[in-house]
Formats: sequence, C-alpha cells, structure tokens
Amino acid sequence: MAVEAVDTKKKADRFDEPIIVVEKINKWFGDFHVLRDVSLSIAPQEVVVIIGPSGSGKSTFIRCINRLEEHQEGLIQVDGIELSHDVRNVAEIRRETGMVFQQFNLFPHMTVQDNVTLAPMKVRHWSKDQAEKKAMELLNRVGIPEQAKKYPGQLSGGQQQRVAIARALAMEPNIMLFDEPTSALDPEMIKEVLDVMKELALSGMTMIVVTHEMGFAREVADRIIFMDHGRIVEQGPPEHFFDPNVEHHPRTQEFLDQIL
Amino acid sequence: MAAQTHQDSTLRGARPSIFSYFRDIRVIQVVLQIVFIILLVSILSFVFINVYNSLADRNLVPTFRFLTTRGGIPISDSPAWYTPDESYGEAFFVGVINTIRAVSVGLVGATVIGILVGILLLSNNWLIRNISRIYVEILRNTPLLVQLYFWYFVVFLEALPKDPTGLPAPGVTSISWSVPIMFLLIVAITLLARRTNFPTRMTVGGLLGLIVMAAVRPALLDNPTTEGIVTIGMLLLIGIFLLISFFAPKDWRGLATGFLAMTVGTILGAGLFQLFEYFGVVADGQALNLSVYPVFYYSVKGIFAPEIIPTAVFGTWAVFVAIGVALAIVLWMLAGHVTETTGKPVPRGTYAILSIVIFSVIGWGIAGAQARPTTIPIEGDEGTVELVPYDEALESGDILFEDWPLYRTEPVIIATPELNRFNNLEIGFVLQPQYSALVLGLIVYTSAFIAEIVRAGIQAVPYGQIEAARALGLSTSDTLLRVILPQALRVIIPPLGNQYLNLSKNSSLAAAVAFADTYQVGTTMMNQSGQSITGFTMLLIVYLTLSLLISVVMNIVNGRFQIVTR
Ligand SMILES: Nc1ncnc2c1ncn2[C@@H]1O[C@H](COP(=O)(O)OP(=O)(O)OP(=O)(O)O)[C@@H](O)[C@H]1O
Ligand SMILES: [Mg+2]
Repeated sequence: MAVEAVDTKKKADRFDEPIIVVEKINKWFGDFHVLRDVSLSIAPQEVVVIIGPSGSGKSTFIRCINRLEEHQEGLIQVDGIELSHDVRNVAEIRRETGMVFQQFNLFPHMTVQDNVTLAPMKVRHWSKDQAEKKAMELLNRVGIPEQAKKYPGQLSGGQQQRVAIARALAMEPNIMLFDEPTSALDPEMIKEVLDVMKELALSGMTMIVVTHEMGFAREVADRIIFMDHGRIVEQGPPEHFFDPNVEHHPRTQEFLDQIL
Repeated sequence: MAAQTHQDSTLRGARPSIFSYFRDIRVIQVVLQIVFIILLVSILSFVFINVYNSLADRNLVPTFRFLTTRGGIPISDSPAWYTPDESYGEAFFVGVINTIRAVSVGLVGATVIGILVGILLLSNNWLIRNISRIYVEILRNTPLLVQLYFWYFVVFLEALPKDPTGLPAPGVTSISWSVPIMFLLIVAITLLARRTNFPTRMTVGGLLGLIVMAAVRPALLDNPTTEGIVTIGMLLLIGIFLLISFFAPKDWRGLATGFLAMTVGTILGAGLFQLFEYFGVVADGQALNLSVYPVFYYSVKGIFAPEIIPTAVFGTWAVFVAIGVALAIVLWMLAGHVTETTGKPVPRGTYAILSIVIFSVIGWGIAGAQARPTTIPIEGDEGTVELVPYDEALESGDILFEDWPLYRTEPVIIATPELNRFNNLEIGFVLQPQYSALVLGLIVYTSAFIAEIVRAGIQAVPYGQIEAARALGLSTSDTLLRVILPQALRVIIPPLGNQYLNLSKNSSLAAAVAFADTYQVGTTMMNQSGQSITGFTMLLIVYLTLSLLISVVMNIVNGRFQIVTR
C-alpha cells in the first residue's frame, strides 16, 4: 500500500541507533480514528518534513511525541526513554524535545528574555546569570538580540516565532518539533523564520517539521513523509517527491498537484 | 508654498470676520464651561439657601454637636463597653465597626468560596460541574434581600434548635482498631503508589476504599439495625466502582489495586483484632476510648465558639513570634537570591514555616517561665481582702473569669464555650444570628458572581499557553503559578473589584436582618435626633471611604498584572 522509496535516510547509516522510534501507534478522538498504525524511526540529526492534507493527523502525530496528546496503542521511544504513563518519563522526554507552535504561544506577561529563561531556571535549575547568558546567545542566533527586554505583544509575528524557537532551544533539546511554524505569518516574515530553521538543521539538530513550505522541504529535508487519513502513505527523500517521473501513490499525487 | 495656498482665492470655507472669533472651537469650549459653572453654582446655592432657611425655621440647622449627647440606641451586637447610655457618636462608631466586621469577613469568605466554585465550574466531572453550575445560577438569579431573609428567618431562627446544642455531642466515643489500621493502610498505599506508574489513580482508589470502609465500619461493628442498609450501600458502591474499573481504559487498574488493598486490608486487619480479643491478647475491641466535650454550641441565639484570650505574658510571646516571622521573611528572600544565583532550588517555604514554628515554641516556653504573681487578692466575706494562692483560688472558683488571663502561664488560652444555668453563654465567643445571617448571605450571594468571574478568567487563558508550558517541561505548579495565574488574574481582578464594591455596599441591607450596621444605626440616629442632613453626610462619608479604600487597593493590584502590548 505505502510506496517506499529506495533511497532513504542519507544520514541514518552513520548512526545505527535511531533517536525516535514509533511503532504502530493508534489514536482515537472518541470514535474518530486519527492515527492508524503509524510507525517511524528517525536517526539522530535527521530532518523529517511531514506533509499532508488538512485533518490528516500531522499535528496529532507530532504532539504524541512529547505527550501533548496521548496515544492509545503502540510504542513511542524518544532518546531511549519509553513514553509511558510514568510522569518522570514524560517530564524527561519533554526536557529533551523542544516544540514550536503555529501560534507561537509565547507568554505575553513576560519579557522576551524571561520567556527564554523561565524553563531553564525552573526545570534545569540554572542560575539566573547562566540562563540569561544562554538567552542572549540564542537571541543573537535567531537575530533579535535587541528585543530582549520587550514584551511579545510589541514584536512582529516573525520576531515572535524566532523568540519561540529561542525559547525551545534554551532547554538544550536534542530534538525539535515544529508544527506549521510559518502558517500564521505574513509572507515577508516567513523567510526570516525559515532561515533560522535552516541554520538549525545545518547545525545537526534532529527535527520533525510539519509544514506546507515545499521550498524548505526540498532544500533542507532528509526525508519527506506524506500522511493522509492518519496513515503514512508515502515517504522518501525530497528528490523522490519532487521528481515528476516517479510514480506516486494516487493520494500523494493528488496532494502534490494541488500544492505544487 | 503654504502661504500661497493660504491666499488662494479659490479656497472655499468661512471668511474671516468679527464673528469668526466666536466660531473658534477653543473659545466655544471655554465659554460653554463658564456658562455651565455659573449655572451649577446658582442652582446649588438656590437649593442650599432654601434648605438652610427652612431648617432654620424649624430649629434644625445641621450640626455635629448632637453627636456627643446621649443616644439611647440599644445595640445587641456590640463591644462590651457599649450601653444605650453612650452618645450618638459612639453608637455610630459601633455601627461602623459592625459594618467593617461584616464586610471584611464577607470579602474573604466570598473570595475563597468564589474561587473554589469557579474552579469546580471547570471540572471534568459532569456531576461536580453541574452542581456548581446550579449553585451559581440559583444564587445570582434571586434577589439578595430574599436570600438574607432566608438565612435569617428560615435557617438561623427556625432551623436551629432553641437550646444550645453541643458539637461534637458530649460523651464517650470509642475508636475501634480498624481506624489505626485504615490510617496505616492509606499511608502505605500512598507511599507504594509513588513507585508505580499510576500514583494518582492508586491513591484515589485507596481513598475511595477508605471512604467505603469508614462509612461501613460503625454499622458492621456497633449497630445491628443499620447494618443491612449500610451493607447494601457498600455493595452498591463496590458495584459502581467495579463497573468504572471494568469499562475504563486498562491503566485504570491502579484504581482497583488501591481500592482493593484498602478494603480487603481493613477487613482482614479488623478480623485479626477480633481474633486477638477472642483469645484475650487485647483487652478490648476498641483501640481508644475518648471523652468528648463540645467545642461549639449552636442555637437560635447564635453560634458559640471557642474564644482566644491573650494573657498577661502574651506580649513576650508575640515578640518571639514577630522575630520568627521577620526571620522567615529574610530567609525567604535569601533563599530566592540563592536560587537565582546558583539555580539550586531551595525549599524556602519549609524554612520560613520552620522559623516561625521554632520561634513560636521557644517564645511559648520563655513566656510561660516569666515570673507572675503566685497569689491573688480575693475579697473575703467581711469585706476584707486576703491573698490566696492562685491555684487554690482557681479551684475554689473565686477567680472571676476576667482576672483569669492575668495568672496563666500560656500566652493565649483557647476557652471552649461554657453555658450557665439559663443556657446563656458564660465563656466563649458568640456569632449572633443577625451577624451570621448577614455575613453568610453576603458571602454566598457574592461567591456566585466571583465564581463566574474566576471561571471566565481561567478560560480566558488560551490552551496554547498551557501546552507551551508543558512542552517546555514545566511542572504543574510552575505552569499554574508562572503561566496560568498571572494571565487569569489580569482578567479576573477588575470585575472582582466590582464585586468587592457590591459586597461592601450590599452590607447596608443589614437592617433587613436586624443587624446594627452603619446604615441601621445611622438611620436610627437620624430619626431620633432629626439631624438627617448630618446623618446622611456621615453615612455618605463612611460608605465612600470604604469604597474608595477597596478601589485603591484593587487598582494597585490591577496595575501589577497589566500586560504590555504594542
Ligand atoms: N482534541 C480533539 N478532539 C477531537 N478531534 C480532534 C482533536 N484534535 C484534532 N482532532 C481531529 O483529528 C483530525 C486530525 O487533526 P490534526 O490537527 O492532527 O490534523 P492536521 O493534519 O494537523 O491538520 P492541519 O493541516 O489542518 O493542521 C482532524 O480531523 C481533527 O478534527
Ligand atoms: Mg495541524
């Protein structure tokens, strides 16, 4: 059923141990079967882009990885830790994974700097000095060091999303999850956020990105996954997806025709 | 360029002329204001002169002088020094005190209950959510006056017994062996649960079991007539519980484990002690026999509660407590500083509490060791005064209650209420039904509005905020304290301030339940003295001050929660 590409995982052969293992997970919202037997394993430093039509379960899937949603069947392992009901495991996995949301979800009552330092101080028990140093370093990295003392409401959308990326990176995660990070942005701001993400990918971060930005997928992704109706329908490297001569699964073809 | 345009003859619009000055918007505004002020002053002076003249004709010129004359206003709920012989001014003062007593307790109570119900309104549990919803809807959709009448006439004057009834009922209460067994079991279950994958569910299961066993135990062991009913009830409960655990997802089995450990453990343990008793290992089937004295009394005369009385050595103790509190504050700030510079979490709350507790205990001992008179002057039969040892005087009952605190070693004594032959309160603290009805009415009524405000405030925080906090790995308490509350309070505080103002003003409905508050004493004063203008002015000042005070406090609090936006 699923069309598997021949040449996957450029980097995978360099690392034998996958950092994320998902085995046959199933999830229901009431009677609605959102995720159906989804299996996936991701190598360290791999950049995986998930595409698919609206409602296909992309968000639900990546939210299962850090337990913002609970899967009902199957196994999820992140960095060697099994995602079980043990609250310590959940906390451990959340420390190891950063997440960036479509709506930024910055804390509006805190300055940019406080947004970035809160979690390292509270969760990693860093000193204020150490956390602030890290925050400035990250704000520099995402290109907005001068906004540290401002409040999120005073920033543009693109700047807010870059703060959100800095906030997630402050916890020094091994894995970053992005759920449509540019969908709420005006076109002129999309590039500044994508540039930060590209830089992050080049630096060797393991990333799972849900996005409709095909340019980004083509350029940065090691692997693209097409989801539909809660299933992984097709996966492969960008060359496979964007090669007009390859025969795709009909659902994939339909989707690609719409967006390309 | 600009000058050219200005002189352009093709320009349309009004030409400058003598009258154009009066068309200048700035001049119009000033003239209008002057006209308004002149009008206002003339109307007010007209009214004032007329009122003054008509009052002067009747010898009723407003004055504050009457305040020092005898008022003759009886107030049942008043400080000990107050009698109807006191002046109008003092009567009014008692009224103000009563208003403050009612409003301050009302504000705290309404806030606490309001927040609680507000959170319950958001409960995931259908039953809890809907019960709180009904509570809110009934209370905020009926007039406060009707509710006050209900509390006063139905609850406090009708439903409560005529004669004071003790709570807990006096007598000997036996505690069976199953009580310590259940206690140990729940501790064990809680500790064990933390090592499993479902700590909360297992603990909740244990607590459920505890409830069932605690409800069933007396019937099984003591009372054969209710045994049947309770057994059926218990079986029903177990049945319902089994249904839940059967149909719930499989990880709910923690609930079953906790529940079964509790119930089966208790039954086995209690059975063991029955055996012990049978074979004479233990003397009695009971673990403990306790004599119980009432701590509270309730009747139509009010609620009698224990009174906290400071003694002669209270001051010494208070100094120690103050030092403890000061040290606690210092420790708290120091710990905050340490956490900030090193990142290490410091249990600052524990340190602060320890500091207060340790100093209170030390101070208690030192205060008690202070020298105090060992003898007490007592008036003898022939009018002579003799010095009697304190302990003897206490035993013979020669010491008046008021003298008591002078000779005690404890800094404070908690005196449980005692009744005299006429069932009147001799010692203790009384909450009169008028006061209780008013305060309860205000609390319950206002809490419904506060609950809605709290619910809306919490719901106003986008769910994305909680998800962001979770995704960062923040703990539940940090999520609540650092992310949800600061944002919810921003929405909650302004309307909450309005409810506080409403409560303070609504307290003037006290007259409906015959409670002598500012308004009631004030109107009595006006009727008796005829000084209505002075009286109204005083009422106005009191309520205005109260409202302004609340507004100022709420504005300061509000200022701290504003969010900076573009
Ligand atoms: N909390 C929920 N309760 C019930 N149904 C939900 C919930 N969250 C998502 N769904 C449903 O699950 C399906 C998958 O949702 P999901 O958000 O994962 O889709 P998606 O692929 O991310 O779509 P989009 O591209 O629009 O973001 C949708 O049909 C959605 O309506
Ligand atoms: Mg989505």
